[in-house]
Amino acid sequence: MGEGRHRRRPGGMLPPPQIMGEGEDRISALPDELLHIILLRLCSPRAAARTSVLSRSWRHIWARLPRLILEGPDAPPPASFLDSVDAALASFSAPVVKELHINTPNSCPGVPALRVAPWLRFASQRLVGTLFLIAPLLISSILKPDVGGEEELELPVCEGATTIKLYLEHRWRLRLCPAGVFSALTDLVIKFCRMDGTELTALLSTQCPRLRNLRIQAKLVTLSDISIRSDSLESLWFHVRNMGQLEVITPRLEVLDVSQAIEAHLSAPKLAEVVWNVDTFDPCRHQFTDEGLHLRLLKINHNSLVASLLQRFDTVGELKLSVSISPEIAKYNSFLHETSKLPKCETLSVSSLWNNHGLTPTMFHLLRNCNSIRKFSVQLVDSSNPSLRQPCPLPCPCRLEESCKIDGITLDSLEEIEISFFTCSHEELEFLEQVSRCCVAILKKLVINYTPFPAPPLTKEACEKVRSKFHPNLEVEIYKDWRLVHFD
Amino acid sequence: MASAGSGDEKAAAAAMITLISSDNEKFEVTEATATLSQTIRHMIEDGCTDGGVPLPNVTSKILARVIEYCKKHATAAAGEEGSSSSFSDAAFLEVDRAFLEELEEFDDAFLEVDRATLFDLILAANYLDIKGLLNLTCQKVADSVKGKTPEQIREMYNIVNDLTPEEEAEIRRETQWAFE
Repeated sequence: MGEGRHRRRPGGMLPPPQIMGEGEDRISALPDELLHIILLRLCSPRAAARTSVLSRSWRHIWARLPRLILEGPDAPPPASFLDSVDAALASFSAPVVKELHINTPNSCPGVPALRVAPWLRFASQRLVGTLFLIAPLLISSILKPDVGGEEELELPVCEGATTIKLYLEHRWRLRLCPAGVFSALTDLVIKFCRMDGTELTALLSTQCPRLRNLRIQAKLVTLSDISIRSDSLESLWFHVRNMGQLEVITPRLEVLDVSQAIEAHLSAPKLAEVVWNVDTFDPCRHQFTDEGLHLRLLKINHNSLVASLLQRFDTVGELKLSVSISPEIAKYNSFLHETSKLPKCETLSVSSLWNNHGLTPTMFHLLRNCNSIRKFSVQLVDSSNPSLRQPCPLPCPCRLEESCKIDGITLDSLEEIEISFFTCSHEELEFLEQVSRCCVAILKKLVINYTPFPAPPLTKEACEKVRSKFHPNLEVEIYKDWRLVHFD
Repeated sequence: MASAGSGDEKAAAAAMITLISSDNEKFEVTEATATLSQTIRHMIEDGCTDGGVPLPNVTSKILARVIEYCKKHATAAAGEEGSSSSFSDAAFLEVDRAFLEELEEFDDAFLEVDRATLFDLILAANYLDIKGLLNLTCQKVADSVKGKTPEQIREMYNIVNDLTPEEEAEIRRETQWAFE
């Protein structure tokens, strides 16, 4: 709030306090910047605007607020929201706006793009800071993004914007000007809209010279290649549908989170974190050229055909795997094959979206291939939904006795185990018992987060059962609803 | 977590600062307390606090209140540095929560002042650049205005309406969206 204030010296700007009588108007005597703080703290654009009728000196206090924030419980009602935004922008006289924040209520019926266009033009003329625009979240447009006529919305160049976050509508096509530069822009988020591949490539490669963080979730109007060549980009979250080849040439890129990339060519020598949401990794079509052999984080949200990605790196700080294997035997075998070689990592984090196969054999398969970890973290299935738990066929390899064998597995670096969504089921206790047999004295801590979903209540007996699986000196912490549980 | 006061005592051994109010009263405070004020922090950094810091815009009555606020919040800040708030550290979270509740109670009680004092505190917080105190006191004024009509606000704060009826009607037309 106080960014604009200068360093003050004693004896400086303000007169010494005067003795004021009871009937004194102290509030109107406050400097504008303090009145602005008070008006912004009303958290109500309407209440703030209403102060302009208090007196002559109050007339323009609201209209010169550094931030225009049109959202919240006391925002204009949905039926007149669009008109209200227009009126507010029309009477807003501050030459420079640090933040323009418009959050259209969800109940606002179908907003035409042409009503939103002038708001973006306002931002392009006055904004020096953050633009935040949220269109109503239309459930129908999420379910059927391709239904409904396309409408164009132009994003004019905003030279002063440092951050732009646009949450639009699937039927809107966001048009970008080929000329002009977003010269101050460091953070850009564009979600839920259609875009043109050529325009997007131009924007990212030539019109945003300072862009550091980018998040895009959109659909290209026609199947096109995208090329991102940026010397400034550090973090890229790119979920764009209808994309051909994705080329990313970014010397400073550290974080990559990508989906939908059938083909990708990446040159990012500083890459440290990868979140891979593509269902395959094919070294012929997904080329990582200048990246090192170590990552801070590798998170893979598919477990179908990712062996080459897992083998692309020698060491990983934290390896996060989402394991959701459908009941078929072939799928389980493929899982075994794809994860047969894992990079050496410090933390292995496994979340099982739903567990059709045995917990112990699935986890031990991973532990067998990743036995130098220091921390093992498991997020179990949401047990409240039994319909998600179709069992695998009887001859499935996960049911074989030898799959549960722990011979030869010694987790001699393992210091901490954390299990979330625990329900104290027979299977989970069995798994804990097996893990405890592989651990050596170095294991220091076991953290259990009991499931927040419907489950049998957590009892003292259940806690004791967990305890009994491990050495009595082990520090065991059991949490329910994020609070440490004590049974004394 | 530090218990109330211990962070303060540790700093006390390091350095004391003398603040001098407009009516020439002297207040000895620890550097940790004083530096909640960015204005004073900058003066300390520039090495111009020898012989005391004159604050000609702040009376002793208000300065005493400001120091009371800073002492409490400096302790809170010292506590925050030493604590961890990772998700597994529920025990720490428990303590933090209790401490934050205590701080909130302190703030509520602190704001139980007459309106003139409240405005003096706002001006002092602004002049001394104490963000927490400025936000706290401005929020108090904002809360008092919430849900009130312009007429009620004028009455509450003795604001004289010097607009002509025509001017007022015009402004109401311009900001009709805010009155619906």
